[in-house]
Amino acid sequence: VNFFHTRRENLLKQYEELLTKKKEAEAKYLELQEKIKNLKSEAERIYQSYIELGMRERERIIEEAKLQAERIKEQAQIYIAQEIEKAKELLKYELAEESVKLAEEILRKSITPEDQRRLVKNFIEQLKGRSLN
Amino acid sequence: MRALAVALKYAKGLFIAAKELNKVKDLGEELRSFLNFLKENKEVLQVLQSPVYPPEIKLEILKEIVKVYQLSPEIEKFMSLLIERRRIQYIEEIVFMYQVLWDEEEGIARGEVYSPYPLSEEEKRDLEDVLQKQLNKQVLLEVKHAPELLGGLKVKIGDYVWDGSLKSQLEKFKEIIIKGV
Repeated sequence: VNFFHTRRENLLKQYEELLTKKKEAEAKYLELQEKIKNLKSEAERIYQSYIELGMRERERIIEEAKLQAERIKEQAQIYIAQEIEKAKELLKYELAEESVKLAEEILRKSITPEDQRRLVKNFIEQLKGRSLN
Repeated sequence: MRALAVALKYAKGLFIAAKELNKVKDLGEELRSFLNFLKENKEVLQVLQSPVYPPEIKLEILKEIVKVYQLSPEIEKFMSLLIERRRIQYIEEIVFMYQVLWDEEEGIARGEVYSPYPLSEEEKRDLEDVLQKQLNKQVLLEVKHAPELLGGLKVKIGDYVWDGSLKSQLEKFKEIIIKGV
């Protein structure tokens, strides 16, 4: 009788221990489940912040590129204006050179000794009307 | 520039001495004539101006020249001085500066008139007369042929320039086109 009594008590004790462990395991399970749920939302938050960062960076790069493009455009316009000015100057110079060359050729061919004498006379007359100062 | 400064120093020395002796014209003409003689005898001039030969040899050569070329004692002495002081290489500049001093003394302004056609004596004289009135000096012009001027004249006297050439007018015309006035 005593044997059975002791055995029954042991089994009861074991059952209660197992019951406690089961409760503990269930509590642990709930705790872990909660943690997993938080991990997901944390991952979501990080993901969202990276997306926002990426968007901002994209905007910045686009803005920078726009400014750069504007600068290049302005420089190109200045360069074009300078080149046009240079070409104009060169054209004017060449035009002047050619005009004078042509005038020289015409004069050389057409000037007569009579013209020469008249030019000398005019020069002397002009000198008469001039003073050194 | 240094050559002219050195030349002026020696020319002035000779000019002052010539004035004291009342021989400005004689010595000036003799010096110019002697320079022409040396230029005609280039070898002699080269030896006299060469730094290779010592002054003693050059003085011997000068003595030999004097035997043939009747130099006045003043010019002979002056030439000896130039040889001794190694200034004979500036002989041309010295003659030029002597002429400048002489002209200054006489109130003469020498210059050049550049012309593309042969100027008549009358035209040259007219030009000299009108410039004489401006400068208050007797003007003596040397005519130089300058076909590049096309027409008209250009006159240079010392630092003064009067440019009435067609060439210069064309140059002004060119400037106007370039400046776009």
